[in-house]
Amino acid sequence: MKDYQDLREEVIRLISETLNISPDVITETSAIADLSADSIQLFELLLAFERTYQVETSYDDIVGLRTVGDIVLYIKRVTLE
Amino acid sequence: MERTSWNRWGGGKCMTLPFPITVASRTNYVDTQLIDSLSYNECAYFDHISPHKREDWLMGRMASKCAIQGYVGTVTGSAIDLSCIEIISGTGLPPTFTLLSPVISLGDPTFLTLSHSHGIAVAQVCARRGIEGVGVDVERVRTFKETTLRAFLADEEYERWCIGSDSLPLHATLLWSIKEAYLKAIGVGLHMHPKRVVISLDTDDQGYTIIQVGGSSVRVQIYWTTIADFYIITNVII
Repeated sequence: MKDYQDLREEVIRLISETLNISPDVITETSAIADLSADSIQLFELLLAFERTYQVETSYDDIVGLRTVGDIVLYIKRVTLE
Repeated sequence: MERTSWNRWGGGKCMTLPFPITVASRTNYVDTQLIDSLSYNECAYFDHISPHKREDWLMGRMASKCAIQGYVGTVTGSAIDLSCIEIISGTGLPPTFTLLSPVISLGDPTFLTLSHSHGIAVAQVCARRGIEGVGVDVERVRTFKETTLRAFLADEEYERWCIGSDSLPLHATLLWSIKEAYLKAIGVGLHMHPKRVVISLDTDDQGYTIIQVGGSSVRVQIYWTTIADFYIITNVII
């Protein structure tokens, strides 16, 4: 099982690759909506989370999360269940 | 937007919309105009916005304030300075506004809807009278990944507008934009999955488009246009 730090690095890498931005500008407190350039990018990021962590039914949960840290905690929780 | 021709979804064109839309583009303003239009609270908030988001945020404020200024003038005959209009958004709820002028009263409650994308913003204000909601959206036309198309389009939408399309980026961006404008009009934004909104060309006997939302039929008016060759503006009225 991945620990929090590993998962955080993985999530940051996924955001960086999906949105084509440097990982250096992404922190735990970064707001997801701020990182994406527009609503379509935001939607593609949500899809990437769903696909990578196989949480297909949780769009409603993911879209309500605000920060990178919230995403990490959410994924850690749902992948444990 | 006076000279813009609008397409009515399902067929037909018109030169004016039921409620006017204001467009703000980065090329139309200098920085001092934009900053001077902000209220005290908005200036304070501006400092906390990520640098790469500031321009779109400012355009959204400018489009909204100009739309409200026009609405105030029409309804009350009063002139109001842009800095006396404060936009409240970012709370997970639809945007609203406050007039920082004690002498102006609008009477009816209003809808405010706004959108921004890559340096262009659009906004619309109207009274909450005779309609259930309004939503605007602006998007830059783009090429979508196949997985993204499949994720936000219902199968019938994909088959009708994407397979064999000569204008796939335009069609796909337009469908996304209609869905997002509708989701704004009902006040939920992307908190509802866009695939739950299914766009068709069905109309009723009064010319309203019938869309399917979560299996239920909803009557809406949909208008759209393109500007600067690569932006789509969409307006949904319920």
